[in-house]
Formats: sequence, C-alpha cells, structure tokens
Amino acid sequence: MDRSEIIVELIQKYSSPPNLGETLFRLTEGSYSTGPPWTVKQFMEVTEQRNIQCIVAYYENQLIGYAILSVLPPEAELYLIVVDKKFKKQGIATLLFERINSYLEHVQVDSLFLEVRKSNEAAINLYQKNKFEKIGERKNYYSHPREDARVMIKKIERRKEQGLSTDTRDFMKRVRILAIETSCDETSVAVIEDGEKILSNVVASQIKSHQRFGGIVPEIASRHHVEQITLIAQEALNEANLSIENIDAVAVTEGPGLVGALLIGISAAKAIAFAHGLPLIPVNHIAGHIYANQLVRPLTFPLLALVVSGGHTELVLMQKDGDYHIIGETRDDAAGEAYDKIGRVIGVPYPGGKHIDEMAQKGEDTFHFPRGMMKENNYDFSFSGLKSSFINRVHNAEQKGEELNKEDLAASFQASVVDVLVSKTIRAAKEYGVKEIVLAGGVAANRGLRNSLSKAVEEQLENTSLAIPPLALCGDNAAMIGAAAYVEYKTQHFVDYSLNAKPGLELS
Amino acid sequence: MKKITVKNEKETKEIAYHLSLYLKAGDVILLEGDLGMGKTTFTKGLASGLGITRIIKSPTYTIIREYLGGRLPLYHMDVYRIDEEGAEELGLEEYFDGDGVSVIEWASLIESELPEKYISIRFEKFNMDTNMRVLSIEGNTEELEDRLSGFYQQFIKEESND
Repeated sequence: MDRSEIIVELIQKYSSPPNLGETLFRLTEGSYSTGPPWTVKQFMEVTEQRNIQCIVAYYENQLIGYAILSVLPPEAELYLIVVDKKFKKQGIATLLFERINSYLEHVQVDSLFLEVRKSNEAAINLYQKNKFEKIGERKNYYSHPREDARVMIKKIERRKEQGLSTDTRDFMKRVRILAIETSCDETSVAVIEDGEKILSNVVASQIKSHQRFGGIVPEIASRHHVEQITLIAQEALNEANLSIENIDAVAVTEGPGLVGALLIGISAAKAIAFAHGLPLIPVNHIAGHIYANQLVRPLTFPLLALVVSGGHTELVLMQKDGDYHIIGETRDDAAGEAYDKIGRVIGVPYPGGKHIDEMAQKGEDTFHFPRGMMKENNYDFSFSGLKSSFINRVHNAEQKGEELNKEDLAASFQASVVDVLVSKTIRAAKEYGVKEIVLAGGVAANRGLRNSLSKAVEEQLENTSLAIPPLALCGDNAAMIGAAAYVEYKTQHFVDYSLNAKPGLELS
Repeated sequence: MKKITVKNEKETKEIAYHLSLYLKAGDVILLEGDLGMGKTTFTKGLASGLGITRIIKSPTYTIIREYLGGRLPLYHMDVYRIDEEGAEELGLEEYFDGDGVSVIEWASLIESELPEKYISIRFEKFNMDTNMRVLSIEGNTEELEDRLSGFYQQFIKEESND
C-alpha cells in the first residue's frame, strides 16, 4: 500500500461521519483479543462528549485505525488506539501518534497518559517506541480476565509559537459561547458567536433595589442573582434561537467584583458546563469591558484602553489579543466611585454618575476644582483630592448659608475628571504610538467624557482611531464577557471545576 | 480617649505610620468620619508603616481589599453599603481572627459584627479648617491602651494644644 494515500485527521464534532460509533466498534472487534472494551452505544456516547477527541486514519476511504482521547489541558488520556488487523505493522499507529502529538501540542497539553494490560507486550513495545514511559501500576484494573494495568506517560513538548494550525481554523468555525456576568448588580447572560456577533444579551438590573440604600448591597445582589440566573440563561438561549446543544463553551466572570455575586455566576457556569460537557472559560471583568468594543468592530493593535467604572480607573496597553499591561491606575478612588460619592453629597440618586453627567450638560465649570496628578509624569490618577475640595466647597457654602448652583458644581466636577482622564490618555497614546484608543467601562457612557475624548483624539492624534462602545454595552453585560472569552477559546484556555471567585483579580 | 490634631494629609499619614509600629496580628482598627475626612489617607500611612508597597485604593466598591507583603497582612474594609446581616455573610470574623490587621471604615454600621477588642479612631474637622483634623484615638481594652502608650507619648504634646 502507498503510505502517502493514508489520511489521518481529527474528527470535528460538527461533521462526524454517520455511524461513527458502529464503525469504531467493528474495527475494534477484529483487533482486540479480549473483545471490544465498549459497546456500540458506548462508542457513540463517548465520541459525542465535548472533551473527547477522535483521530482517525483512512485508506481508500476506509477507516483503518483510530485513537480516542480525553483532553482536559494540560492533561490528556489515551483511551484507545486501534489499527485494523489487515494494516498492522505498517506504521499506521505511528502516523496516529504523530497526529495526536501535534494536536495535543496545539491545545497545550503537556502530559498524555494511558493504561495498558501488563501482559500486552506488543502494545507496550509500541508505546515505548512512541516515547511513553512507565510511571506506575494499577492492581486488578482490568476484568475479564482480571489483570493489573501499567500506567504510562508521554511528555508533549511544545514547539515555538507558530501561525494558526489547521486545528485552530477548524476550532474557529462558528463558535458560540454562552457567557455569564454577575460581578456586581447586573445579572446577565449572553450568547456570542465568534467573539463578535451578539446572538442575545439579556441584562437584568437591580439598580431599583439598591437605590434606597444609596449603593450596592452585597447580600441583596447575591439574592437577586440566585433568583434570576437560570431564568436569564434560558431567556438568552431562547432569544438566540438556540438550544444548549448548539453551545461550544461556557464563559463566566471570575473577578474582580463582589465575592457573593461572582459565586452565583460561577456556580451556574460550572453546573451548565458539567451537565453538558462543555469547556469552562474564566474571564476577567475588565478584559470584558475592553472587548465590548470587539462587538462593534475588530480591535486594532497596539491599542490603549481607558477603563473607567465604579471600581476601576486604568490605562491598559495591549500589543495583541489577551495581552494586558496596566500602565496607569487610580491611587485612591475610581472615577465612577468619585461620581457616586459626590452624588451623595449633593443629594442625587444612586448611581450618581448619570445624574451628574446630565446636570453637567446644563452647567459651567465655574469652581475650577483641582486636576489631580494631571501634570505628573506618569499615567496614574487620583480623585480623592477632587472629592475633598468638592465636599469642602459644599460644606463651606452650607455654613455660610450660601446657595451654590448644583449644575455648575456638577459641570466643574466633571470637567476636572474628564480633563485628567483625557489628557493622560492622549499623552500615553502618543508615547506608546498606539493605533487605537478604546474607551471601556460604565463611565464610558458619560457624555462629557465621550465628547471630550473624541474631540481630543481627532485634534491631537493623526493615525489613531477611537472606539467607544454603544451605550448598551458600556454597563456590565455578559456580551462583553463572551467577546473576551473567545480569545481564551482560541488558545484553549479552559479550566476545571475548581474555578473560584477572585474578588480582587487584577488584569495580567 | 486621646486627641491628636493634624494639619494636613501628610501628617495624617505620619500618625498612621507611627501607630502601625505598635500593631500586631489580630488587631482591628475602626475608622469613623465623614466622606473626605482622611480615612483612606490614614490607611495609606498605616500600610506604609507595615511595609506594604502596593497602592492602597479605596475599598468602597469591592468592600474588602487585602494587602499582603508587609510585616503583617492588611485587610482594608469599607462597610458603608452593607448592614449587619451583610457583614455576617461576608465572614468578617475570619479577618478579625486572622493573621493581619483589619481596618474598617464606617464600622458603626455593623456594630453587632464587631470584635470585642478594637482601636477606634474618629476623624473630625478642627475649627472648620479645610485641611486640619482632630483624631480621637482609643483602644477599648487595657492591654491595647498599654501597648499604645509609647505611641501616645510621642504625640501627647499636640493633645494638650487641643
């Protein structure tokens, strides 16, 4: 036979040949002296599981060998490797092993395990030839007849990074990710296709419940999430017109956020992933905010993201997908938090940001509050000084019985925040020569900031574009988590069920 | 109750820095005072005295921030937005019994969840001055007051000015 005519390929779940289970069973029947280890039904069920990969060899359109692996990076287990009796000793097994190796290398598996009957010398020889080593034994592992198993391991060495392999391109075929976000006060589930297309994005806000407390109340947040999460997940699938069988992975925000709130989303994601054999992808909430822009148009690298929200004020430099460097951050209050706090002082409802922004449109910067750290030669921010001046100004006026124009107060406060954010962003964009500036986070909805940043980019940067998410994607939502998760999906960055909430998670 | 007057943020940090030298694992410090009175500034000084080099950010949004890497771990909490039931769910007592120093802003909101022993510090304006503050400091046990006596001696002069 001509070896060049042998085709070895990874079977795709979307396009597995009909009767695969039966074909595999027949082939196995003739090859195992102890009879096939699985029934036809078991073959069918196993090969349908998400973490199971099947690599097959064809010769003249006939299946002549196969390998079945369970793949949970960084480990994999070889369940079966079988070659048709008629094609034995012709190097088919070696071809299969080569393909297994390149596949595992690609999905970042470093150890491949297998078990073999202690007496099966032919198989042990084959495995040794393919660089497996004995690491232990399992007593009475096999039955019919009862026998010990030898456990062997092969270390998979990774080659240097290279372009996208066939496997990656196959993986990229219409990937649908079910994404869950519960880091704070919104319960949200979305279905995202290929990291860029929103099939559904359901957001249930709790703002009304929190308003009377003047802020987020963690245990209320958790209770709401518990009540909502399964309903919202079902709604997201319905809206996308898909069932869970059409989903390729489950993504969830692992942090930063409120621990109780995060845990609800994580538990739901784990349950769904486990029940349906789907890979589980943890996503950093801040990365999500940045990738919200990917849902509008592809990101251009290198880019600089200004992330501004209730809990964050950061300048993040990205050279490529999934690569984050924080070049500046707040040293005290986050911008959104400063808005909420001064909102409390002048008595606007929670969350303060939106109201202050509206008031600011009608007022003028007459108070000239300080611009924190604006002239300093770094990209860090500080809003605590601004907050103190603002409070002092209001309190002094109260003592003197002086009436201050609240719209001017709002406009003056906003001018200080926006000036600092915009000037530092533009300066950093120039220094790092970025191609794109991305605005991200809840405060990206602020009109004052959107307008000023657009104007500054247009006037001061020639070759830099600006991406601002639509209002619907500025606040917390699961669509952005699905967009960021796709980057992790492409690199097969999956985790097991030990995933836990990381309330203080940083971008890295 | 000992009172110490500070002129500005820098002095607030210095006081906190010196206080930190007297702290040990399991200590809890309650900070009381309005917005902008210097509670987070004080915590920055405390952290620097403990040898923590990371930036101390406001914990308002995340409720709790943990800082390791100093002589003692620092747990910085802002319970402004939670009630006593919420505090119970957060498992604060694990922090209080832990191996570090806990600093709690707005602690009076979760009174029933507070530990038996603590140092309380109240921040008030001094003569309506914009920057000056009066810090009223007290350990609620004899052991704490004894331990802090060296600290008090350093700053007692300013107390008499009050």
